[in-house]
Amino acid sequence: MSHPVVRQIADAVPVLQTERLRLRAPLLPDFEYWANYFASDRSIHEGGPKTRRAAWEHWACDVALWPLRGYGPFGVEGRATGDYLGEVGIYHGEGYPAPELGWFVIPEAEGKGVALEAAYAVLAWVKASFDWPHITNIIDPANTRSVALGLRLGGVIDPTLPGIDPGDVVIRHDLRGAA
Amino acid sequence: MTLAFHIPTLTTERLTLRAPREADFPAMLAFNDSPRSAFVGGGAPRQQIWRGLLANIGHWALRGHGFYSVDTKAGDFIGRIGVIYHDGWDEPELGWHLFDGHEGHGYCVEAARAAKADYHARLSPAPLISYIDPANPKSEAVARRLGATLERETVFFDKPANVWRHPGPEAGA
Repeated sequence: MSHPVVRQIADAVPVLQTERLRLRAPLLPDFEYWANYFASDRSIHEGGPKTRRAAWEHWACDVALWPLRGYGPFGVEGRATGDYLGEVGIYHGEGYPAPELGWFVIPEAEGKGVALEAAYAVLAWVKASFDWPHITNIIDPANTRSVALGLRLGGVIDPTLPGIDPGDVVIRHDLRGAA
Repeated sequence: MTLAFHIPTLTTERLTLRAPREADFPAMLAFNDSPRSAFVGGGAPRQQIWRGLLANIGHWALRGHGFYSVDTKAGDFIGRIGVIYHDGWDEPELGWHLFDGHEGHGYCVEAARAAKADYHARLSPAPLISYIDPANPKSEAVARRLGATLERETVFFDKPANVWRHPGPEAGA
């Protein structure tokens, strides 16, 4: 069910297409995946586990970035199936030093390069849309898979940039100069 | 860059109901820190209030309705009123709270009528509920003036609450 008013936000958020993926506005049914994620130990690097109520608040705040700041998280779907695979985009929670490039992949879609492919598209969109010198990933050092992904995307670890919690790994992606 | 994301502006005789914005935060924080907020989860940490502001804007984006920020014609931000349906709610709720110093003028009823009519016109004719703390007679009086009746008792996020049922749009309330 998509009410006309809700379609307005869906239409206002750009749609990014990659070879296998479609990135679009976050939609209400996406929340069930976030509730599951925050109910599980998989969320340990993101301040979880959290109650369903806290998960809702967390996710609704992320969605609010679109109307407030003009950037935010994209829901990621498989182009062939329309299945929800996760969320990749720009996050800016309280306490973040700057907008951050982040990703989330549901368990069924892990190991297929979904986050990498979507993050490339988001980086290209950020580069075209904002005049930012760089964007970072801020990652719990115990989250080695995310650190590896940030480096595979072409980022470099920059210990001079601020994180959120002490010890965070900050990976810098330069957005100016040669593509 | 900001998005073309439209939250309606509603005007009543004395009030303007408008989109929430970041600048609303200090007044929301002051309300939270005042005794008047006791029935709506008052005394919460600052971070919680910030999240409440943002989560409501996210709610607008996801549902197409939410709390409006209410201003007087003079431009004073006096409270938040609208229809909210966060996860964990049984049904969409007509909710209201006025900040200190603005009660006793009938503002709550005036703004709630406008928010209710807007919800029914744009989203659904289904009659709305309000969750009201059983120890909050002032809010019960607002519900009665809006034509609502007590429907049942419930437990809402671990606290007792009464569910009040509003008349549908055909009542013209």
